[in-house]
This record gives sequence, structure tokens and C-alpha cells, in this order.
Amino acid sequence: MSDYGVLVAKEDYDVRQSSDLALAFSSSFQNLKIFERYSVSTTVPSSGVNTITITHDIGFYSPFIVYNNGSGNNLSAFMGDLTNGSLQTGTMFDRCRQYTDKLEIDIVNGFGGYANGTTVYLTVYIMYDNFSTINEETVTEDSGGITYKQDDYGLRVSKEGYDVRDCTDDQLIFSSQFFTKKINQKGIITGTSLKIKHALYKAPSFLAFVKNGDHILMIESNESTWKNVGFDCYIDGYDQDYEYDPEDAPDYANGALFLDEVAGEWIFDGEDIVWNFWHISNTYYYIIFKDEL
Amino acid sequence: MTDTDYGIRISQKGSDVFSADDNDVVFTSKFALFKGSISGVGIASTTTTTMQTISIEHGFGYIPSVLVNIAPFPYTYFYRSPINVSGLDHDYWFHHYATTTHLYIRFRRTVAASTSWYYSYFIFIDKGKI
Repeated sequence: MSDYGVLVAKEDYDVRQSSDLALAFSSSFQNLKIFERYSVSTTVPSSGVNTITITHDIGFYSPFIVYNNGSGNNLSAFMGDLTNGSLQTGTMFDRCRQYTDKLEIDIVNGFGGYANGTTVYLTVYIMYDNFSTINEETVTEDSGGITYKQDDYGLRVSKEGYDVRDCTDDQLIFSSQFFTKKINQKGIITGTSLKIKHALYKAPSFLAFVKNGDHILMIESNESTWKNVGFDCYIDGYDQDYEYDPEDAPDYANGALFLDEVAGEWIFDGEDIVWNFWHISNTYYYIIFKDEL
Repeated sequence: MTDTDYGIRISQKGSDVFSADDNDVVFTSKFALFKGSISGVGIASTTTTTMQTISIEHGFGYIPSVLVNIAPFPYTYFYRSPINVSGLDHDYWFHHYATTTHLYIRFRRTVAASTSWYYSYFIFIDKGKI
């Protein structure tokens, strides 16, 4: 943290003394920027897949998030298929393919437990981030789970075309009422067993993707013996008394986060993430946020 | 989305705000930031294979974006929900979804065993259904 720049504290925090997590915004850190969002739909096929194509022409591999809104368009499930667990569940793991110019989403026969021909709805976020390397390695303090309330002061920035004085929260680009996903570090890494030092001393949230030929796909949690795409990771703690055995990796999960454990208690702290990768490729795109899980 | 010649742009130290790539600025009013409003943690228990549901009221009046992470006891590793149940040997099963009023987190094991589940969640202002 330098002694100049822009800091915006959340309500009830002193901007001069706030920890990183108590800031709604800091010019010291990157944030997760939304390039565009889309509402799309298709029908459940009687066999094979129906593919939704979203052309974005962003020009590089970028993060994405897909919400399943169900057949009633009345819920949101992160990368979710409420019957089968994940949107990518099945032998065809590669169902959400992010290219440099488009995102393809396959809806398969049996999706969501819906009958053939049922219309299903999705909301898609394409983020604006090319995974250029940032490595903050900044130690921060957590402010805990807090619910923030409305107030009549602070900083608001509206989207183009909306009046900042009376637009809804969802029509804002930024508001000091709300926390943002501040990026601790990000990048593209290659290898099969890599250690990334984050120095947060807690378990941070993250998004990770793996390259598969000419596109990337999200790495998901997976407890199975199926190994086509997966990684797992753990966080070293202060005492280093928990050692993860890489031989166990296939029994665990894509995206499972291994933490240090102290006898008799559980603390989510640590300074490293270790990912053990296997299969489809050795090129991974990651973003580690400052938020604690 | 179109480029405009007005708005707010903030670069990081060492980067020229006039010439920096959009990827390298910490803020530009060209792109909205992902905005969170509610976060929290909790612990739930299951003893049978029956699905357990935790509901968390958010009161937004619309369907928000949500992220959930789950750590089964002894809390030494996290999964991001939903779990991908591909394969043959999965035991833990969980997913989550949000409606206009609540976030629901659902979990169970496929074999009956007493299990505690630590969960954390983020509920965002940004809509999960537009």
C-alpha cells in the first residue's frame, strides 16, 4: 500500500485505518470487472447437446461465470445443474468453453432433470481480465461476515445511461455500500505441481480455469476418480504440521482447497496455495481474491 | 459497449492512466465491478443420506448472484459449490441456488454418516438472473 491513491471505506469503517478487506475500493488492487452479461436460453435436447454460443470478441481468454436460472427462470445456481450437481457434470466435462471470441455452453439431454424440449434459462457474466500477472503478496486482516445497510452517503458510480441519483444498485458500476472482489494476485502458470505464495494467512476465494486446446474451461470441485480435468490445492499454515500427500490427489477434487489443521481446532490460515495439476494440459489461469472463504 | 471519452479511470502506481490498457487499470467506469453485499459463514450437520437445506434470507427482491464454499469436517479442505458428481466414487453431494428471497444451500452424503459442514457464502448485488 502506497501513501497516495484512492481509498473508499465501507460504511462504519475509518478509511484512514481500514484493513484491505474493509475497503470498498482501493487503487492498490485490481477488481473483478464485468465486461458484459447475457441472458440466454435453449431447450433440453432429446439426445446429444444444444449449444448456446455467445460471441463477445473480447480478444483474449477471460474469466466467465454461468448461472442456471432453471426452467422457470426463477432462481440462480452458480455453474449449477440442480439434479446433477454441476453444469459440467458427466463424461463430457468440457461443456462451458471460453474462446478468445466466444463462449459456448452445451445443454445436454437430461439437463436439470427436465423433460426433452423444456426451455432452460441462463445468465452469463464475461469478465474483463486477461490474467496478466499480479502478485501482491499482501498480508491483510479479515473484517468478518458483515451485512451492510443502505445509507445516504458514500460514493456511487452508475453505468452509462443510468441516473446515478435514482438508479438501482444493480445499475451501478461501483458503490461504497458494497464490497468488491479485490484481486490479490492472478496470472497464467504452467506445470504439474506449483506453489503460489499469497501470504494472506487464510483461505482465499479464487477462480481457476484450465486451457484445453483452443479454449479454457472452469475448474470445478469434484470428488471422484475421474481425472480428466482437475486440480487440488492446500494452504500451508504457520506450524506446517499438515502435509498433503499428492498421491491422494485423484481421490479429491478439482478446486478443493486443502488447509492447514491444528489439533483440536480449525483455522483457515496459511500463506501458500499448492496446486497439483493433472491431465488435459499444464496451462492454468487463476485469480486469487483477498476475500476469505 | 462503446468507448467513451468521459468517465472515471484509475490506474495503479507506475501505470499511466491515459495510456494503460483496460486490463491494467484498477477501475474504469467502462466496466462494472462485481459488487457484494452479504457474506457469512455457518455450520450445519447431517446424519443420514437425506438432503439438508439451509436457507438464508437476503431480502433483495430479485435473484442475486451467489457463491458458496463448503468444507466437510474436519474442515481441512474446501469445495466450491456445486460439486461435480462425475465419476463413480462421489460421496459428498451439495449445491446451492438463490431465489428472490433466499439463498438455499443443500447437502448430503450418499452414505449415512454423521457429518458437519462448514459453509461460507457471498451474496452479490449483481443479478444472477437478468
